[in-house]
Amino acid sequence: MMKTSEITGVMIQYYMTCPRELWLYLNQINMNYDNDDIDIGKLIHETSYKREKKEIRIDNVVFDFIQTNDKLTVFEVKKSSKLTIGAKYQLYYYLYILKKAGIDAEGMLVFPKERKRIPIILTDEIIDKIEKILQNIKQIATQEKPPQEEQKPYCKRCSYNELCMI
Amino acid sequence: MGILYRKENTLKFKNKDMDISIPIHAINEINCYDKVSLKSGAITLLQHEKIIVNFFNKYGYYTGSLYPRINLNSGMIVVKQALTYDNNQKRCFIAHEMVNGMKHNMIKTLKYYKKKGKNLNDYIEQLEKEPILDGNINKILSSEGKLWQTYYPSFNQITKKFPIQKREFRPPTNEMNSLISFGNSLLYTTTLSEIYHTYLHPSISFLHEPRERRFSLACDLADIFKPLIVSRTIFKLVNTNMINEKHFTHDAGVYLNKKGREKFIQEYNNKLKTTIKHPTLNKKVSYRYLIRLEGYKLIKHMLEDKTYESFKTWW
Repeated sequence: MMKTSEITGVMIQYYMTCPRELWLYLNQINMNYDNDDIDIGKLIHETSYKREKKEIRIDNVVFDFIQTNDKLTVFEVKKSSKLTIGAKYQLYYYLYILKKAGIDAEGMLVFPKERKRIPIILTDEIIDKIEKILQNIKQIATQEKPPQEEQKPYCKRCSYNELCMI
Repeated sequence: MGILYRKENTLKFKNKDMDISIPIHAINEINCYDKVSLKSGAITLLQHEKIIVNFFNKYGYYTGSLYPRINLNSGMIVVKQALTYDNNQKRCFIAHEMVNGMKHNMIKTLKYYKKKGKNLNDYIEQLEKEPILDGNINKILSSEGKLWQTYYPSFNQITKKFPIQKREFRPPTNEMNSLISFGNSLLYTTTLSEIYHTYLHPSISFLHEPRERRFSLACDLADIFKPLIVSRTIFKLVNTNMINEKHFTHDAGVYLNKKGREKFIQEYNNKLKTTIKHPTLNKKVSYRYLIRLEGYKLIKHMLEDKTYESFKTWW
């Protein structure tokens, strides 16, 4: 059985967008070798916010960068604001981990290409949801078979698209 | 003859007539039909860019590959692949379906030429009624053998030149056999490159025995595509006179000469680049890419995600 401490931000993100993608990822099947979006994403990570302290690692999660004014803010850099549901929950999860450690923090989703930012605040309601998600992820990790594919509008940009649709 | 070397991050090929750059992101693999030396820098670059280099001897036989470090590695899939091979029922299911696809593609190819006015009714009928036995791998293999035995003589109705009585190789005894051998070895290497880009292990096969000293999964998948890719290339080359008597040498067997191989490879590559609208992917895919998709289907089958259905020309 997978431990909660093994769950990463990317798993939360995958779970929210596509449980099948999560299963494949958990089983080391990655198809991202010729997806340009992934290279672009990497490049954005590397080239933006150069003055900030980047890649802060706590246990199994990595924050893109943080800022401390009166409150700690965790930043997550994304290429596009099109598919934010996964990114939001990824950040909620980071805030959740910090909260468990007794740190009250806020989140900020940033889209350097779009010059846009979305503040993220953890509520009790979301904490419940996160806990449910963690349970579900552990359950998916035990499944023998991948969850059935489902046609979603963003499938055609996904690197697993051909594996799913063939 | 020449040398492959690296200059900064560019792959270069040099011989006495030329010194050219090879755009490494635009190639799928490198096939060497003549003596080619690889400098260590070139090898590092090729390995890093995950390009397979295949070597052929002076007769055009495949001798081996410089195979990059395994890039896509999933222990789970290799285990499942081995377990599928080891289970007679599971193995036979895949092997049978592969032969079924092959048969379909043979018939489809002949029907295409029938429409062009070739007298192929007898062959089509014979292929159609040829049963694919099941139950153990030897029965499936003998059915496969019979299908090819029926299929190859039909070439005499399609091409004006280079008659073939039966398939003979090592060495090919006439022009047509030599064309088939050469085309098959090309398809083998293409298939190997495509398998490399999936999680499948190239040595664990279903129709062929993994005991053969080859990447036998490439033999399995190549067989399904031979009628579409190799046969059609040959028919075009022979019927348009792009390849004729002067492109062969008679040695211990009959072989394509350098010019003949060039023509063949050119036409073969055109064939691989041909695209077709895929019904479920809803986009155009190349014939080459169809081979990789076949690998994906096997992966899905082994994950019990979707039952394997071999490639059958749908157009």
